Amino acid sequence: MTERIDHDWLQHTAAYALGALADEERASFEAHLATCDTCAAEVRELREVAGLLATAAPQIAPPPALRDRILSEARSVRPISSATPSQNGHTTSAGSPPSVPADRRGPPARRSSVVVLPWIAAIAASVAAIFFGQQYRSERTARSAAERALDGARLTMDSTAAALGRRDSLIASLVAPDVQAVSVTGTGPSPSARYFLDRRANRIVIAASSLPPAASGRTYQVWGIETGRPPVSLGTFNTDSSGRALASLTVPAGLRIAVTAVTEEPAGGSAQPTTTPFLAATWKSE
Amino acid sequence: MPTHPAGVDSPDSDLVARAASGDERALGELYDRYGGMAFSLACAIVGEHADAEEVVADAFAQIWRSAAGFDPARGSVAAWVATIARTRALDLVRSRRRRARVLEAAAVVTDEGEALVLAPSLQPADRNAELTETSAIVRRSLADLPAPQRQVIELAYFGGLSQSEIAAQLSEPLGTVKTRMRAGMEKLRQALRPVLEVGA
Repeated sequence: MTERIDHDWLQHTAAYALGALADEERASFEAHLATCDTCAAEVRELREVAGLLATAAPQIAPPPALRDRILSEARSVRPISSATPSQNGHTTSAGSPPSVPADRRGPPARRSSVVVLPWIAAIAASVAAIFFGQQYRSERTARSAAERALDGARLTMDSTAAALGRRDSLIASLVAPDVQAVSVTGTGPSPSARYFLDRRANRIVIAASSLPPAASGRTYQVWGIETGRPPVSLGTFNTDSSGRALASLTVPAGLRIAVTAVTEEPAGGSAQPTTTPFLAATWKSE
Repeated sequence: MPTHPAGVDSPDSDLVARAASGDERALGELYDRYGGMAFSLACAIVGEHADAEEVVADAFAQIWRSAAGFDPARGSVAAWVATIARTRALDLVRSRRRRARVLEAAAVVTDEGEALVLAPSLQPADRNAELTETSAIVRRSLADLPAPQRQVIELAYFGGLSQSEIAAQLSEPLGTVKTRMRAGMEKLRQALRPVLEVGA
């Protein structure tokens, strides 16, 4: 190919390397890629650039136990090319944890949306955008589910599903049919939480993780905010040394929570938030 | 770190070949080289450390199973590992509908000209960030990009959004997003050329 200057396909190489082409574009570009050395060379280099972006994430050391876990899981599954008859006894061990049916890890009924923003005022403005965005998401989710089904024969065990299922089982017992649930995460490798709000029982459960314990003399305080009104304290909690907490708090009767958020406050809590809220979630009104 | 009799300086591609033949120690060495990168990337995408662990365990299980399919002609081992970890992390994010995170990323980038993963809030001081030289160069190169270019690249890479989703998110014309992404990646390629050549 010598059409270098007018080679329209080159417009797609960067987006392709970033995985950002729409599905139809990607399919036609991949068909072209198979036959074009110019684009293939370009993609190869841009993929390396994209790969380097991974190193821009804040560097965090994985827990030491993860290495052992990966190796012990590897021991129970042979690589695809190396499954020889003499090693067949190795493949799926009877002792592996039971896999969790996909529907067991689905979201509780009426899961609503998910937000974290620097300050609550910004949340209202983005709610419409979130619901809009979820339409894209559900399409993509359905598509990736289909793709994964095709790939399913190669998957020996879905350890993510199993682990999520285990972790969710505690929470699931708290969840009644009318409970709304929201997951929130901060930016980067920062705290995340799930809230479970049972409006009928006036109860909210927060399960926080990756949240360092508040310093001595300080605590975390959960706020419920009714549209147009000042925040109301729902209670305080603190995380353990592993950064986790599970707190069940009472919602004052009559409070119609539109937003929940957490602040760090002096021990005992404050009458009104004195620091920047985080782990903010919006709630659908009943 | 565990013992490594012969393989300390094995080229990455040799490790992958050994893993493909069922050598668990080779998988361990690959993990020693790229586990930290994969975990950091997964943390940046999924947020929760516990989830990031699942992502990395899954990613290395996939690396183990599919090592025979690795083709050195298509790119480096580092990029391959990063791609697998990123894909797994984005799958998890999607499956748990954490999409609003991405909205937040857009808000943060827009309002403060600061990047999602480069400005994590509430990061504990004791999380000692040992930045490699590469990481520092990559960060600097990203920071040197015009904010709109960096934004679309980060939304694509860390947020897993397609160009049209980014356009909808930012209320920008699709053509503008495409132009920014291409220009930004081209600048990154120039800026990162020294790193790319060393790694090649």
